[in-house]
Amino acid sequence: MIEFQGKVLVIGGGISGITAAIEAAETGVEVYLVDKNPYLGGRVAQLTKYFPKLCPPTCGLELNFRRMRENKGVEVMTQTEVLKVEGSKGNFKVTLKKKPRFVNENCTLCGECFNVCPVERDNDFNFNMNKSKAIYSVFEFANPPYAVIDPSVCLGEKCSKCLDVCKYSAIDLNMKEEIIDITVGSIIVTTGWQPYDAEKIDNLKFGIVPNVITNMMMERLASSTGPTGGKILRPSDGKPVKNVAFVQCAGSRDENHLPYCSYICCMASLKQCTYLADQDPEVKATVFYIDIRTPGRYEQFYWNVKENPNISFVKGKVANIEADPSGDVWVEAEDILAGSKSKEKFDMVVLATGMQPTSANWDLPFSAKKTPEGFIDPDSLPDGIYLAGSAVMPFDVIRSLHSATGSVLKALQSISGRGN
Amino acid sequence: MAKRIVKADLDFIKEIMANGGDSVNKCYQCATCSVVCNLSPDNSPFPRKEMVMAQWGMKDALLKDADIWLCHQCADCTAYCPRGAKPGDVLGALRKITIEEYAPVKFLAKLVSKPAMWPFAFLLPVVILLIDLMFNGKLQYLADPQVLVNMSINGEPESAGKIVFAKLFPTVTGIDIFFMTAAIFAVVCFWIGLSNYWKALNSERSYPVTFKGSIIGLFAGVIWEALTSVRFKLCNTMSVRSTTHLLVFWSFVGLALTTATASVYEWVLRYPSPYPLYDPVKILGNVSGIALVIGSIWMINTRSTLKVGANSGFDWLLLIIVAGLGLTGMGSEIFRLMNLASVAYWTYFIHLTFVMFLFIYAPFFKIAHLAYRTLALAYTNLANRGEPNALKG
Repeated sequence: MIEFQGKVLVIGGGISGITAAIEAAETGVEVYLVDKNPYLGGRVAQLTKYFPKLCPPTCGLELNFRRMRENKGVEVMTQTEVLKVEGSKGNFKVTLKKKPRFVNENCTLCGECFNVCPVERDNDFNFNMNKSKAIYSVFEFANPPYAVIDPSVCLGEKCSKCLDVCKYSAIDLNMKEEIIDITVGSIIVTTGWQPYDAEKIDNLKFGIVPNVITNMMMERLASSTGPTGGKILRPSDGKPVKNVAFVQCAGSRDENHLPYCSYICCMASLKQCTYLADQDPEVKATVFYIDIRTPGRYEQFYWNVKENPNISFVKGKVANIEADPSGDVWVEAEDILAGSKSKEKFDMVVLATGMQPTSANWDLPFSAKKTPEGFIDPDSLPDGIYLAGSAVMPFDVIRSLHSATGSVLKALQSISGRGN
Repeated sequence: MAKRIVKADLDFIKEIMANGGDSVNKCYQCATCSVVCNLSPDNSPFPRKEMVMAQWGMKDALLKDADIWLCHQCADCTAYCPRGAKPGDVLGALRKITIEEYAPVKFLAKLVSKPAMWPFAFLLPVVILLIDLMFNGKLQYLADPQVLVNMSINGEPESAGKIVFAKLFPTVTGIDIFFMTAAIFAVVCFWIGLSNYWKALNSERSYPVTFKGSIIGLFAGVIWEALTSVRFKLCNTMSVRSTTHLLVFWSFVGLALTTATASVYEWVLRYPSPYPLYDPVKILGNVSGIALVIGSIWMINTRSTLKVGANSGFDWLLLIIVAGLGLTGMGSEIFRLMNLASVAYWTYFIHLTFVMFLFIYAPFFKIAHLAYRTLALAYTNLANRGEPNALKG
C-alpha cells in the first residue's frame, strides 16, 4: 500500500476540478478544492443539457457531490482565490484569499431574505439577462446550498432587513476576508474557460444590435433555472422565437480573435437546435458555418439534427449583422455553395462564441509560461503542478473528465515518495 | 451543374505568390471577405472565388476575370480575414500578372516586373536621354552645366545669364521629338494590350453581357467614377486611400493641363518658358506639383503604416516614380529660382528620366491600371455587375 505524502490542491471547481478532487480523495488523499465563485460546477452548471445524450448537467454534478459527501476527504473553499504558490513538489506553501459570503451554514435557502432585500443586482450567472437581489441563491441546486450576499450592492447594517427576517441566524454582515495558508504536496490546475468576449468581434455587433446573443446566453434562456424559466424568448421584447440563426466560428479559428478551433461550438449549436425543435416543432433554424466539426461519434448527432427539415445549413461565415427596426436581425453571408451573397432576417441570432482559457486573464501564482492564446504551457510548469480540463485546450465534458482523472494519477505519482 | 475539369497550374500559383500574393494558401474559404467588401456584387461575389481559383492555379479563368478590377484594395477583406490570407494583396498580384500577360514587348514588362531588375529598367531612359543630348550636341554640358548660364538661345540676348532648361534639352529637338515618340510607343502598346484583354474578357463569358446606351456614355460613367472616387470612398479600413488617390490623380490631371497649355504658349503664342510665377499656367503647374509631392508622400506613408500590399514591388515602383516625378519637378524649379545652376540642371535631367520612364513603361507597370481598370469597369457595367449595392438608388 502506498502512503501518499501530502495533500492535493485543486484550483477551479468546475466539472474537471470536482472530478479531479473526488477521484484523488477516493484514493485516500486529503484534497482542497478552491473556486473563485460562490458555487461549484463552473460552466457546466450554466448549461441546460450536455451533448450528446442531452441529459441535464445538474444530474452529473449531483452524482459527484454525493461522492464528496460520502468520502469527506475534499475540503471545498468557494469564493477563494490562490494568491501565491511557493516551494516545490511535495511541499508547496500556498496562500489563499477567501472572500466573505456573509451567510453561514445555518442557511436553509428558505428565501425570506430574498423577499425583503430592497436592492437588485445584474445576475451575472444569467449573463445579466435578469436581476437578483443583493442576497441571493446563484441558482437552484447550487452547491454549497447557501445564499450569498453581493457586497458591492448590499446596503449593509443600516438596512439589515435580511437579518430581521432570518430565523436561522444564518446572516453575518461582519464576515471578513480571510488569508489562509496551506501546505500541499501537489497541485492540479483546472481553471477552465470563459466565453470569448463577443463585443470584440465588431462586425457581428454583439451588444449593439438587439437580439444577438451568445451560445452561453442561449443555454441560460433554455434552462428551467434561467431568466425565462426555460422558455426561449428573445431578450428585446420577450417574443417566442420562430426563426433563429446560428453563427459558427464567432471568434474561433480567427487569428484576430481565437486562432484555434474551440471544439465544442458546432456540437453546442446542433444541441441548441434541438432545444428549439423541442420547444416548438415549427421553429426554423439556420446554421451558418465554415466547416461543421463533429468529431468521432458526434457525427451521428449531426446527421440526426440534419434530418429535421426545419433546420438548414449554409456554408459561409456570417460577416455582417444589422438591426431591423422590428427587433429582428439581418444576417449577411456568402452562401458559397449557391455562389451568391445572402441577406436574411431572423428573430434572434446566436453567436457560437468560443472558449478562451481563464488563464488568459490570470496572474499566475506560480512560475509558468503562457502560450500566445493564454493557455498555460504544460512544459513550463514546475514539477508537482499539473493541468486538466479545458485549461489544457478546448475540451467537451467527456474529455475534461478523462483529463481530470489522468491528472490525478500524475499528482499522486508526484507525492508517492517513489520518485519519478 | 455542369462538370468541369479544373486544370491546376502549379507555376501560376508560384507566380501569384512571387508577386505579392504570398499569403494565398492560407485561405480556408470562410467567405468573410466577400461579405465585408462593400464593392463586391451579390451574385458571384469576389474575392472568395478568386482565392479558391488562385489556390487551384486556374490561370485561364483568372486572367479573364474582370472582377479583380472591381477591387480597389480597400483592405476590408484583409483586415477581417481570420487567416491572414490577405485577399486584397492576392487580387493586387492578379492585376499585375494580368497587365504583364496582355502587354506586348514582354522584354520591357520583365524589366519593371521584379525589383532586382529596376536598376536596368532605369538605365534605359537614362541612355535615351544621353543619346538625346548627344544628338543635340549638348552632352559635354552635363558634366558642367554652369557654362550654359551665360549662353543664349538662338542668339536671343535676354536668355543669356539665366537658367533656362531649353539650353540643355532644346524644346523641339530635345523634348518634343523624343518624348512624343515615347508617348506614341506607349499608346500603341496600350492599344495592343487592351485589345488582347478585351478579346479574353469576351471569350467564353461567365456572365451575359448586354450592350445598352452609347459607348461614350459607358466610358464617361467609368471616367466620372475615377474623377470622383465614388467607388473608392466605399472603403472602410483604408478610407484614407480614396483621398490620397484623388489627390495624386487630380495632380496628374493638373499637370497634363499644364503641359497642354504650355504647348499652346510655345506653338501658338510663341511664348517660351520659363514663365513668371504669376502666370496662370505656372500657378496651375506649381499647385499640381505640390499636390503630387504631398499626395505621393502621403500614399507612401499609408502604405508603410497600414502594411497592405507591403510585399508588392508592383505598387512600390509606381509610388517611387510618382514621388520621384514630383520631387525632381519641384526641385528643378526651386534650384532654378535659387540660381544653383548645376544642381538645377542635374535635377532636371533626373526629372526627365522619371518622365521618360513613365512614358516608355506605362503599358507595363502599375500606372497601366488606369487603362485596364477603365476597360474592365466598362465591361462589368455591361455585365450588370459593376455597380456596388451601396451606390444603387
